[in-house]
Amino acid sequence: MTFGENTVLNRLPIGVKVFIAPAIIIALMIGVIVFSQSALQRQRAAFLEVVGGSLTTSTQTTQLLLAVAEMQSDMLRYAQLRIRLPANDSVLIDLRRSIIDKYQRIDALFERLKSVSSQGESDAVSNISDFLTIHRAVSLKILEGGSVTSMAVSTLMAHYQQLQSYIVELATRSLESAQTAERQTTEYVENFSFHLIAASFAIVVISIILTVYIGRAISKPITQMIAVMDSIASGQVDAVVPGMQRRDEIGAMARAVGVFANVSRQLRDRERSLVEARSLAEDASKHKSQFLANMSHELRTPLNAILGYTELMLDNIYGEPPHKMQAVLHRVQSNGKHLLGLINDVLDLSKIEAGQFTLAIVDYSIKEIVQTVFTTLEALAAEKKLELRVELPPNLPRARGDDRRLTQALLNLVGNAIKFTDSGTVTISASVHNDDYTLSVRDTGPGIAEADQTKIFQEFQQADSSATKKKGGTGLGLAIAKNIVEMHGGQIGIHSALGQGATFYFTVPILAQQHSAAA
Amino acid sequence: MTKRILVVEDQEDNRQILRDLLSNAGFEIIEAETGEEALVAASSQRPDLILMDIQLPVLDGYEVTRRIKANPLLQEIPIIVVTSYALSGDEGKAREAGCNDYVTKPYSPRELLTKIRNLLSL
Repeated sequence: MTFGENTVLNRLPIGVKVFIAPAIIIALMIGVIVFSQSALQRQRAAFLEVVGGSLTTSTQTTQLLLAVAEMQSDMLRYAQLRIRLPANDSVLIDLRRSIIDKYQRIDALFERLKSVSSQGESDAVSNISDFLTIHRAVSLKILEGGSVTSMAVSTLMAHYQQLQSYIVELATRSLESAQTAERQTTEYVENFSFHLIAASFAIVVISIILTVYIGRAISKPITQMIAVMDSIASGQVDAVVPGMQRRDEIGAMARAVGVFANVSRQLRDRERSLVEARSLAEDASKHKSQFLANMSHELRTPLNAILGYTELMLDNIYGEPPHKMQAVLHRVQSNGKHLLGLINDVLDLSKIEAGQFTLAIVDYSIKEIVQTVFTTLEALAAEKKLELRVELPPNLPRARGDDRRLTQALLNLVGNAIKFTDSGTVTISASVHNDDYTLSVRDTGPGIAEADQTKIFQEFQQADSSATKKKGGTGLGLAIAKNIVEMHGGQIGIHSALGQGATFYFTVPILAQQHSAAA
Repeated sequence: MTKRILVVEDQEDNRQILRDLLSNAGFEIIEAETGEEALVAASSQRPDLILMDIQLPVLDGYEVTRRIKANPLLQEIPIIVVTSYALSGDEGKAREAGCNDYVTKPYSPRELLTKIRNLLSL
């Protein structure tokens, strides 16, 4: 069985298709029932005609035989009594009347028999008719005659026997024809029931074939469609959708699946280009990080020579430089170190972006961190005539974390405070709350507007770009500090208002573990 | 007796700094510009200490350090690795190769001299 695109079945709606098989089966059943009904009616008529006729004939024959036998018996009695009694004896008179009545009854019976007997029995019927007439003539002669001779009685007997044999013959014949009818009927019924069984079997077979054929015509395209949808759902969006040209529900479904497949194709294409774009962006970012790492490395080599020679000169390796030149050499050294700081910031940032920025967790003293920062920046503050103050509570606990990185973070905060404050004080303070401690850096600088306060923690951002020109800096310090603090599982923040100074602070767990960077 | 120091460094400026620093401090200097030259100089002249730059053409400083430390005749010579690789893990790699100390460029000549003196027990 094939289900081509153009078969008639493909044009019919499923609602109609479902009824085809039952409709054909019902029509066949009705046909069989009508045929059986008419066949049975015909058989009934035939049965009534043949069997009914024979039965009546045989019944009539029997009645006739009995009536003739009764009449004969009356006649024989009459003949016996007449020998002893006169003809006008009342017994004889009654007997005579009875015999006449019996003849009339026999006549009536015979007339009925004639009317029901069949064509094949007409010779037997006319024989009976002849001998009834003769028998009656003999009987009447006896009844009307004065005496009864033995001759007359034996004649009567002979005729009676002949009459009886004809009646029996008629009975036998009608019996035979009844038997023939019975045989024919049996044959017919057997024949008919065989055909009925064959027809029913054929209907059952046709029903099964039709049901399977139409069932498959409905289910097969649906199964195919499900397979196509499955393959589309599993990502094979280029799968060909069959049956889009069909005019039934399957065609409508196929067209809907076609839309689904199109959308899936578009989604796949979009996803592909997104993946491509992302991989390009990742590559670009990787290249940028690699470039920054390489640059930072390449810059160190000449810087090594600059700082190295400067230090050798200051150490009088080449003889003692004049006093004025010593001051210049100090400036060269200080600027070289500043440049190194900037290069280190860029390298840190590239490490952060490349995901190579990791913490070296050790035991450390919070107090030592603050003191290191103070020692490092004391001279810078003094140069700007700023007061650098430290306020530490007693009994600060030992802590765990990356002390070098935390020192770097605090250096960045204090360095910024000194850089942007023109007069007054920069104060470093510490406090402990439960499992965390906070380091704060308060300055008497210009303060930072609320709108800029989140921006300044982003890379390359400064609050006021004119400040950058005046004060220098890359804007990386706070971004790096933020990363270091967040990798410790802590938070960095600022309290400030324009003209009121600023307080930068960070809070980290006393016992910190490595967290992933938020950058 | 004057101590001999093998300086392995491919850059003339940096070699000059070390030359000035070390000769001023009273050391004798042998110079090598490549890893191969360093291996030859180490075995032929047997220095008392080696300053090893990492970034060298062909045979890098890690590999030269590994080979010297694998040679039973040379493995006693202390090696200070000088690198401008400031990426994490660089120090670990240098230590793995078998160096005795480690400095990152830009280094302070003064501090380097202190490290050299410590290793030579001067």
